[in-house]
Amino acid sequence: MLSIEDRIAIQQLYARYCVCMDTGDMKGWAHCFTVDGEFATYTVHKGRDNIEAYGADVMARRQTNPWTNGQHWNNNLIVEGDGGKAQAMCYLMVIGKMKDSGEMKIVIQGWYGDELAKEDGQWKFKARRVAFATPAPDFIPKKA
Amino acid sequence: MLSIEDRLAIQQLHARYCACLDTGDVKGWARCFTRDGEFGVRTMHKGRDRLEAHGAVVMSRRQNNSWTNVQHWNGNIIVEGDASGASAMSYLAMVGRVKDSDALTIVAQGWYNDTLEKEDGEWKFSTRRISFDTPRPDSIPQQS
Repeated sequence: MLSIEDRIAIQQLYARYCVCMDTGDMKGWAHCFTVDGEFATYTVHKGRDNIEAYGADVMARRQTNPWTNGQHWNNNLIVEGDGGKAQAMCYLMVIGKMKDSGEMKIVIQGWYGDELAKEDGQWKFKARRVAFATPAPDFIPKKA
Repeated sequence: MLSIEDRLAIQQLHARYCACLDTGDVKGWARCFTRDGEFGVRTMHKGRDRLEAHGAVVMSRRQNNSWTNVQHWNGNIIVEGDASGASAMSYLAMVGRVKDSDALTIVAQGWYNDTLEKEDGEWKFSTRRISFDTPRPDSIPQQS
C-alpha cells in the first residue's frame, strides 16, 4: 500500500513536472524521470539524457506556437501501487495567452498514463505517455 | 474526524468518478456509489443497477453533443465529516473539443453536493446532486 507520504510526494512530483516544463527548466523536468525513464508523446524518448535533449527541442519550438505563457494544469490524479512502484493517470490541459488577441485559451487537452518508481528515495516517472483523445477505460489504474 | 487516509481516499474517489465517466466505464462509474446510492440533476436515480442503466443512456447520448473528448475537471473539494459519513461539495468544469472547429473549450460548469459513506471499507458517494447555477451559501458543508 502507498503511504500518505508516498501519495503527497507523488502529487508534488506532478506539480513539479508542470512547473519545470512551463518555466523552461528542462534539467529539472528531465529529473522528474528515472535514469532509464521513458516519455512517449508524439515520439518516444528513453533515458534521462534523451529526454532532456527532447525537452530542449520542445523549448526551441515553443516560440513558434501561436500562444505564450503556457501553463500545464493537471486534475483527477489516480494513483495505485505499493511501497516502490505505482500506476497513475491524470488529466491535462494547457492554458495559454494567444499572441494575436491576448485571449486566454485552452490550447491542448490530454490524458497522462504513468508508471512511477522510487529511485534513490524519490518518486519519479518511469514511463509517461500522453494521449490526446479519450483513452479506453483500461487506461484507469486498477484498484490495488 | 476524518483521517488523512480518508481524505486522500475521498479525493481519489472524485478523480475515479470523472475518469470512469469520461472514458465510458459505466460499471466503474456506478461503483463510485454505494449500493443504494443516488445521483441526479432534477430526477434522482437510486440504486447501483439503475445508476448503471442511467449512465449508459448518458454515455450513448454523448454522440449528439457538438463536442467530443469530454473531460470532467474538479476543484475546490470541501469535505467534512467523520468515519461514519461525510458531506462534500466541489466545482465542475467540463472541457471538450468542439467538433466543427476543433477548439478546446469549457462546455459546462457545475457544482456537486455529495454525501459519502464507507461501504466494505471503501469511500463511496451515497448521494450526488449536481446544479448548473451558483448554489446558496448553505450548500457549503459546515465545518465539523
